Amino acid sequence: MSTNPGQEAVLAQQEHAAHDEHAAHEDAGISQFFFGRVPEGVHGGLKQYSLLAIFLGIITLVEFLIIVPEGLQGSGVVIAPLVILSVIKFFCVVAFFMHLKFENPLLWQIFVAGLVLGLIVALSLVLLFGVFRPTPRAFSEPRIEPFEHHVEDAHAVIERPLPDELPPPANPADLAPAAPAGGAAAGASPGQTLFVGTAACASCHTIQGVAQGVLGPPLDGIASVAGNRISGYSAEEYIRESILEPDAYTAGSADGLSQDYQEGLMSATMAGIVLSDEDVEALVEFLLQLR
Amino acid sequence: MVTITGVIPRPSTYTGLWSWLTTVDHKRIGALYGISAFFFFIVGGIEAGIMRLQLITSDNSLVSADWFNAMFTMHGTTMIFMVIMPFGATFFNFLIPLMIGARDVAFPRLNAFSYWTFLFGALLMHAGFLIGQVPDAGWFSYANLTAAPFSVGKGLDFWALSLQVLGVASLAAGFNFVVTIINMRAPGMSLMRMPVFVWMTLVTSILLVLAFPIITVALIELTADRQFGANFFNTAAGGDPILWQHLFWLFGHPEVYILILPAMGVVSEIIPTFSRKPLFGYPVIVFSGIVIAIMSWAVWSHHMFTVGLGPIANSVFTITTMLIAVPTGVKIFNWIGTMWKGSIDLRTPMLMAIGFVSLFIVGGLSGVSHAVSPSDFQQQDTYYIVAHIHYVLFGGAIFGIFAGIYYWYPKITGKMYNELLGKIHFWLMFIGMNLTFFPMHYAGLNGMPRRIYTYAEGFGWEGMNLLATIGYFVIVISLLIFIHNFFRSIKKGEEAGHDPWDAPTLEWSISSPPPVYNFAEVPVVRGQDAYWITKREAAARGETVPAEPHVDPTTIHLPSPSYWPLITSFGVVWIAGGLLIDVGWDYIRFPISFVGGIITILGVIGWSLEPPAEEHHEAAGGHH
Amino acid sequence: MAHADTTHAPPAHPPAHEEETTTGINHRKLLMWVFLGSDCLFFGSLIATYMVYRGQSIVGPYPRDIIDVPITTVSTFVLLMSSFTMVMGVAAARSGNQKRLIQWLVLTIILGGTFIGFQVYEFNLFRVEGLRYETNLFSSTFFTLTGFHGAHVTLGLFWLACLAIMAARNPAGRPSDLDVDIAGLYWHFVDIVWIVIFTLLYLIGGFDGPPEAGHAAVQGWNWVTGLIS
Repeated sequence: MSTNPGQEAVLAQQEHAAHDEHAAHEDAGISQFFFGRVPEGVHGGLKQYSLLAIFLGIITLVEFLIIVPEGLQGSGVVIAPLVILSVIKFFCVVAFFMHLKFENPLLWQIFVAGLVLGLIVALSLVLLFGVFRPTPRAFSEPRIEPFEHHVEDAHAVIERPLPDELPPPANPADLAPAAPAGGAAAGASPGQTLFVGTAACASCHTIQGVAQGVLGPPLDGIASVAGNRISGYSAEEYIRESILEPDAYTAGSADGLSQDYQEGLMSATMAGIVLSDEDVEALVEFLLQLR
Repeated sequence: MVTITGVIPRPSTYTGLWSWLTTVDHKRIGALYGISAFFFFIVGGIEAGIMRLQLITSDNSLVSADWFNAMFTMHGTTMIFMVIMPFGATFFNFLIPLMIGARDVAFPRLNAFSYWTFLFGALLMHAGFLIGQVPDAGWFSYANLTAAPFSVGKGLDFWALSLQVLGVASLAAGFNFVVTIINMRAPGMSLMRMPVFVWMTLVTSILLVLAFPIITVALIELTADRQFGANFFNTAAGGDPILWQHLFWLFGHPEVYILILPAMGVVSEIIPTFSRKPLFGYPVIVFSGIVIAIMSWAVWSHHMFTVGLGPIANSVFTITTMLIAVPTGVKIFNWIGTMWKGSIDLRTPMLMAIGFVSLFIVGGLSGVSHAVSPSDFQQQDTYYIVAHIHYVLFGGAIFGIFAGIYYWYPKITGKMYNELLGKIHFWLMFIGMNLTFFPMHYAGLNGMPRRIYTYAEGFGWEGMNLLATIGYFVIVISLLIFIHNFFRSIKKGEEAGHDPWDAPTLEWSISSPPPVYNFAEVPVVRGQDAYWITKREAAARGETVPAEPHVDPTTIHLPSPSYWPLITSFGVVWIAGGLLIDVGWDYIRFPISFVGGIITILGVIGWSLEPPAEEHHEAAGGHH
Repeated sequence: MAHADTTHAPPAHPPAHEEETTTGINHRKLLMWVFLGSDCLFFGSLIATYMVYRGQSIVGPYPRDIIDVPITTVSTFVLLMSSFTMVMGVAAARSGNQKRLIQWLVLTIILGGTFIGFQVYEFNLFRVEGLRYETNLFSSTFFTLTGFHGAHVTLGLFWLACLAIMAARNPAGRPSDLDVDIAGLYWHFVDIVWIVIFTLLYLIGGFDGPPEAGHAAVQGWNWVTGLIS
């Protein structure tokens, strides 16, 4: 463990010189204890352990100081130094307090096997779920609430919302991979939020990077083609009618799509979904951007 | 406390019921494991029979959909956690100390604790039947079907808490056998001289020790969701049910190898003995066992191909899953290579072992077919999967277990089973097994989903289901023959002698059944197949090797019986059972559960202060 | 909790009867290390759950509203120092100094108890501020992880107390230095688990809010995925 600050190493060197002549002494010399090979049956004493304790205390202090500046709090920059420092602490405790440095290597192997496996399990889960995934899971996004700081009344507690107060339950397609950064949560238009949220369009329709439904026609570039579907309808009129009166026209292979889509499915699916006029306009506006 | 426990002497009876309750002898504990596992084998078998009778024809109404759900859940849970695993523990317990030349396991009382905790946990799970609260969410109980609103009643609580108790038992056993095998080998028995069964036990124990904490956490989260309103798998709060699947299969896939590796170890002992040849490629078989154990951590998401993990995850797990077939295939070639040009003696254990190899190949091949994730999209949740799991767990693990039972029957009982009945058992079970499960491949690929309680006519599934049900009864008949053979031979079988098979491992060098102290003199090991070496050298001198002579057991220091494992296990199961108490006032379960905690702690204190037996009369005076 | 119970199973061979072992490592010591390796998976899974759900709560309080890093830094320091007193206790036991051993054990218990005191204070504060176990994902994962760590510490305190009492009564040379050593291993392990928890839940995760797009870590991740695709 070459983790000691410089001045301690100097101190240790002097110690080492002093102790050199009685190597079989009950306590190992400081430098020898931390860095060298220690003969069987020799252990640390107050001097070595308190040095290590001070060192570990200092690391803890440094860790704390790193996150004192407000700008660094919660930023990605501090992750690496914090992780490195705590790994140093971790291995100092294991090697010296748990004296694994002086033990049969088998014990190292056993412990490291568990440790590494635990680390791999945790890391792979984190990767599989994408802890760094930019957006909240699609089905939870419409319900995010800010928190008002410090409820004064000790007995006032936040109740979990009852099921019937919640927005409509998640649709299967909402579970599909969510939109990339800047998607539904941050810069999203109201229409897009509706699209993946309460209007549930995303259950059936695909838009690259937004939704992955398969039951209805894909809507990539819909604004470019919508004007050609029914003669005399502009793109905007066609889209609005398709939302309000889904059965009026069902797109299919005649429109150059890869398959015919089931007639009447959309009106049946949309039966329980109530959209205000503003909602419809927001959706139309959003879809018109898809050129 | 110190005063109280200090004066309780250790029990000193070696006969009667009380001796079995307080025993710490690994051979007795092994026997207890075996009897319990066989009991639950019958229970799980009856559950399977109910399912087979329900599915015998279309639109059948023998049981309700709810009962059918309970049946397949309990069948899977029972067979995996209360049959195959404890059967494995039976062999570990009985054989490991004998094979490595030790007096007992490293922690005899911890061993007893494992058994009692296992038994109590299994009984706790089945106690749900008494009050009609049976788990019914499948043996892997996917969230959020298991959430309180969707699984009303206590069934899933019984499942989660009992499984937690069984996990404690398995962990304790795992710790025990890791330490025993690493630390208690006879002089000269280096790692690469250990019998393959010992190796597989070591690997299995390490897997147990590393995999069970994960299911412990998953069950804690499930229990917290159901009992304390936590949000782990609650989608309304942003939780993700997929996490359960990941945690469960992170445990579940190593678990699959926990089930099969002991059987592979058993077979690796039997095939050389009955081929009269040393195991072909011993180091390769050992290393492929280790590789399987390591790789079993890298394949779990192949249970989740249809979840929607994305193409990268599916591709990675497809590749790792196909790779794990390699070390498994290597083992199969090793067994075949062992038989090659051997002088094969087709006794029942050998037949069972060959049955294991051949059926496991079938199961392994269907496994590779759903390792390919696009093909798995077709097979997911169909009877094809049911066929696969039964080829590896029935054709694999159960055949391996029966091979072991026949092989060590003379050692355990001192009597020889009836060879003819054994062979009839094998052939009926082999035919019945294939009759039951082979048609399921076709039913599955023809679209029959697993876990349906009935099906409409016209899908063309009736014939295959009828065959499967007939096959089930063939298996039942074969097992009745086994039971008859087992008990009749104990009474009337011939004396087996200490080494009826001319076997290579140390347990055959002592008398049958083994004396309580195992080896009067600690054996010295001079190579692989230690007992063959001894016998060959004796033969060169023109002698035969008799069983080790008996000595007066009182001259040998043995661990004394103890009450404390039983008490501690009782406390552990009380903690879980207390949380299941429902007498109207909900909060009563916490103090009741807490009492269990106190019993456990008192048990542990009593345990650690318990005097070694030979000093107990002095200890009574000296401990306060 | 039941999980941890399996640690408490040392056999009662008196030190004088210590058996020869194949590796030269005492059975109980080996058992303890295997247990610790296994416990790594236990805490690994709990931490993984926390990290998977990090920043996914959809109702507050969120960590940034409620986590108090300075106070926890103090309690972390206290637990770290208890590791120091523990290792001194082990050294005292090794040199056969029963009196010193008791002193160090009592000091360790006091420090460990202080840590638990901090945790009780923190949990209660959270409750008062409206963060109950069932409030949101953050609370469920946080209380489960730190709660199980706290349970480990409590068990350790109980264990050390038993050793201290035993040392005070000193029956027939117990506790042996091995008894103290093994308890010490457990105690230090609890400490290193806290080192990880402190870094991940407080220093790094203590400023999380609701799910949001502009998180620095998120940008880094997008950059990485951008490189790949």
